Amino acid sequence: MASSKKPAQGSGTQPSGSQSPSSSQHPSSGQYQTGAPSGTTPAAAPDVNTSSLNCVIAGLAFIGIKADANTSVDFGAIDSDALCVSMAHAIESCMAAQGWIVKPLSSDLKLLRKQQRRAPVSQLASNVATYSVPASSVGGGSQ
Amino acid sequence: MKRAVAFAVCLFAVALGAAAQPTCSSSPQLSYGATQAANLKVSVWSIDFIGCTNVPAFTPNAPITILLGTTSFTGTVLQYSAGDPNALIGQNPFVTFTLPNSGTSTTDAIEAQYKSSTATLQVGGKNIALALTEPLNVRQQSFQFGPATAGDTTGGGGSPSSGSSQAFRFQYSGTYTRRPPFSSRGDRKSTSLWNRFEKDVTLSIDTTDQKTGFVDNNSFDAGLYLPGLSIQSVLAQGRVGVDAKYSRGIHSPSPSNLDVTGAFSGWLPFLQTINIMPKGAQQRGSPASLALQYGYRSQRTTGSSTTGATFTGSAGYHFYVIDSYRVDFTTTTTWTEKPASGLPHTQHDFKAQILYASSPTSKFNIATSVENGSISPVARKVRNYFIGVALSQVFESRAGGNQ
Repeated sequence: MASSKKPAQGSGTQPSGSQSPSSSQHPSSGQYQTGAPSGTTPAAAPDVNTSSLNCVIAGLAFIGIKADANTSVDFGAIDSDALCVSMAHAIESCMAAQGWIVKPLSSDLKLLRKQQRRAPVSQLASNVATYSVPASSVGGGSQ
Repeated sequence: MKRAVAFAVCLFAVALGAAAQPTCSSSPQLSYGATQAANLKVSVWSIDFIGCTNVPAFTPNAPITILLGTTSFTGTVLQYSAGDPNALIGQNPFVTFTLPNSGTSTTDAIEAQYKSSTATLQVGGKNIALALTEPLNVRQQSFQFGPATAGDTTGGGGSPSSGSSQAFRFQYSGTYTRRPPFSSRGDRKSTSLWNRFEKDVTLSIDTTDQKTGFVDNNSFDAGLYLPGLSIQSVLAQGRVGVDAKYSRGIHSPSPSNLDVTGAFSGWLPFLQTINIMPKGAQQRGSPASLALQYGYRSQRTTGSSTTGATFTGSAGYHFYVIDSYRVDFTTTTTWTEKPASGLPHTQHDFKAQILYASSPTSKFNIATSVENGSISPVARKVRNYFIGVALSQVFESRAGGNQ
């Protein structure tokens, strides 16, 4: 289902290139550095499954955890809720940079830590893809 | 025509709300997403109905109203899910929606939540209180109590030279943290310098009902830190700041320490968790953590006081053995340039927790723990074997007032 989704192309929401797993973010101030490393040429936006896998790996890297698609994350060994929130925002920001809006993840990752779940990275990425929509489809509201 | 359609949509939403009112064991969680990179004119939010039943089904593109303090925001529903208990993301029912995000207005939704003390979902004419996933102010408390057995003061395992070898141990830790707010504008300019700092206050009590021979380590600690420092592959989530700590025994008020130190802490990505003899997938938790403090210590004893340099280093590490065991290890060393008479220059403390999981997917449970050493103005070298009951309580509250 999710694999059929395509990110916004040329919608004005696409950032400069794909997100690298090493991208960094300042969680407390909301300062995120997304997009490709300087000097690289923007590449075609990947599909939602590729984006979600890259972004979950990037989110883990942001809190210091090196992982790949075959790794399992032990949320019981993540040392604080604040790390889960930082990881959530890193994933959201990474997905946004690739033209996808994912469900806000903070409460999900805090819940995984509370449950001490062991989570395969591939399953996390699959779930992130399931709850992502193209940025171009996100409308506005009013106050 | 548009008005008629909008009216019909509102009626439908009201009817939905009236038909179903969630019953929750705790307040549903309100979260926002970091979507600056997509340059949206809205902010993206979700409400996760964790531990709730009878959750109303929200309709995509229908209006949804949130009260942040007294300010009402009407947004648009993006997604609704009834939840999948087997999933990692979206285990519980949730609704995602957008709220207006001018980026400069004082009524920006993300900033409005920090200026309010309540968040409310209005559905079916009723108000449902929401809990914020990322509050600015967090209070946490934990208690542990139970019997403890001490060896002698040289760590030889015999009875202490004086007093009982049995005691009732009580541990308490209460922490208040004020975190920097998230900036919806994606930069740090909108947050004042003072509010970019994290403020921590901690009261820690670790004592027994015995006057001698057991741990008696109690302190009050206040710190000011700049968080969010990262150096690729070297440091993650680091923070620097200053810290002031007063510590003393309850049974023996003298000596007491007053430390004023510079502090640094963070996680070290180049020291990942290791898996010894793994059979399945590599498991990862937080990498090694490191906390360093250096500054001055004023140590008071009866009739005298000394002042000199002090250094404290703490490290934490997780590792796995044949997939089923996890070891959580923490250690601390303190060095004092001019210790009070009779006290050593260096004190050590370590704790190792061994956890076991019965299957590759089940959670780890504590099998046993070992603790040795003590860092305190009073106890020097006491072994405590402690089996007790632990209680913890977490309170979270929002800022209440301007950032």
